[in-house]
Amino acid sequence: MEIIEKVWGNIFRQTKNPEIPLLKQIPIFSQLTYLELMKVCKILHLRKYHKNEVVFEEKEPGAGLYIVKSGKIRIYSKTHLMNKDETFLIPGDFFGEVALIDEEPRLITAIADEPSELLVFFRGDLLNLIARDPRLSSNILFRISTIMSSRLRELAKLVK
Amino acid sequence: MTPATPPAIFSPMQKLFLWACGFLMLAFIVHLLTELIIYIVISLFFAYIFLPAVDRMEFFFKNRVLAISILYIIFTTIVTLSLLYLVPAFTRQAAELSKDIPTYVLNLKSLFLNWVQKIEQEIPISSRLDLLENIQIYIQKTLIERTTALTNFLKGLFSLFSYLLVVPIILFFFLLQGSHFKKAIVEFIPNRYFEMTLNFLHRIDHQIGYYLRGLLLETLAVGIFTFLGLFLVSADYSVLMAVFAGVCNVIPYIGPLISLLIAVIVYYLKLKSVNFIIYVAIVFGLAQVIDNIFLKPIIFSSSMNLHPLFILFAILLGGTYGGIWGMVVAIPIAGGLKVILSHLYQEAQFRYQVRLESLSESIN
Repeated sequence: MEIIEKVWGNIFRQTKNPEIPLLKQIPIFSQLTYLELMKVCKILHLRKYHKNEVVFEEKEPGAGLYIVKSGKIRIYSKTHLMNKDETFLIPGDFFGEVALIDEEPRLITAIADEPSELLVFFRGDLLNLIARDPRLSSNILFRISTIMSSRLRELAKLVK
Repeated sequence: MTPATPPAIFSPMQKLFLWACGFLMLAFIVHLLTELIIYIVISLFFAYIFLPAVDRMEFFFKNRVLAISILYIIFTTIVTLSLLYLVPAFTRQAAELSKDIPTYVLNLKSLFLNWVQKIEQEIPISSRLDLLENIQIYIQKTLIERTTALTNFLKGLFSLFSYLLVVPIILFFFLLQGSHFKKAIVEFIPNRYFEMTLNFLHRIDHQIGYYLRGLLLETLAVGIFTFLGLFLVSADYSVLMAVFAGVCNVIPYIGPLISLLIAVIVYYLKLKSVNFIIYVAIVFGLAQVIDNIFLKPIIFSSSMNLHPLFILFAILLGGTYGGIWGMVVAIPIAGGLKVILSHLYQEAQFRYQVRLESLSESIN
């Protein structure tokens, strides 16, 4: 499969998208075919951040999912429950997937720990994609809900 | 830890100066491109109307260019076929109406004759004013002017070859690459406002599209229902009155009344029969009932209601600056403006609330 894609893909597609291998790593998109990944690539926004620049803050209305393309992102929370707890995300990680589903305020703060490049999958684009390509978007939505449910299980374990 | 902001390149005063310069340049460019903007606005209007159709067809045909081409072919066929029937009927009826106006005015004269005689008996000096003659001349003149202006306007619509050539081309690229244009614009937005802008653009886009499509659908439906009704009671000027009713229907509350009133006056003057006017009123009423009970709840589910006064002002302003064209364009533009302003207000309010909450938390 890989070989066929490499040999034939390069011939038929002049603009091989550099983001596709990255997307392949992400659980949300891992089940998509090459052509579907191309469609997703078309609606992603690429943003560049300085060191210590805020990506988003808690309580801002969320707008989409972020994928780390390069650099390092620090995630932390100001609320008492998770106070002084932080984690770092490296290329291939993603965050903010809850904002793909609802418009509620963000639960965490994300700050670029070093100069970083992020890919943004915006909720509005997902909504448009539902109208344009229901099969692809329901696949994505299914993967997102899988991730959310596994997070919920983790949280339930913590609460116990 | 508070996040550090990137180092500032310009001082606030310099920034202000740069913004002012940028704004002035933008205003100048807009002034230079006024002609172009009309094309762009018309293309945008159609793009909003066609976008969902193109998206669905793209999923079906797997190719956007093909989808747009097929949509173009279908649309052109429908429009050409309907125009082949509508335009000749419309111009013929309008011409008939403007030809018949002098007779109607004579009818009016006999109606008013008694009143004027009474007035002249009561106030003898008023007979020297030639009240009746003056009123008659005035009414006749303005009526004929209005109808011919309307007919010329509608004839002009179809002789605008430059629009017919340029708008489909612009529209094609808007439909094909609209999302790319938007993406390119969003790239210039600073990271801080990026999410907000995306959210804002998306919502406005959605609402304006909904509103414009709803408006068009409603106009068409009311026009068609009125035409069918008038056709069934075999009234004259059916196409003329149906177009008028459809266009007037855009104005909430007042619009349907205006079209009904004018229809009643015209038909009464022509036929002088109260029975027939009742038929006409029933036709207009039924069209309104269908519109209000069946169409409006479906079309405007995310209710976007403009105050009638606001629409009236918009129409007056549009008429002052752009003639009849301005009046037609005024309502969609007013609707779009309202969506934009109300969302800006909501966004500002939300941000203010968040700021207040975080402030009160930091105090606690």
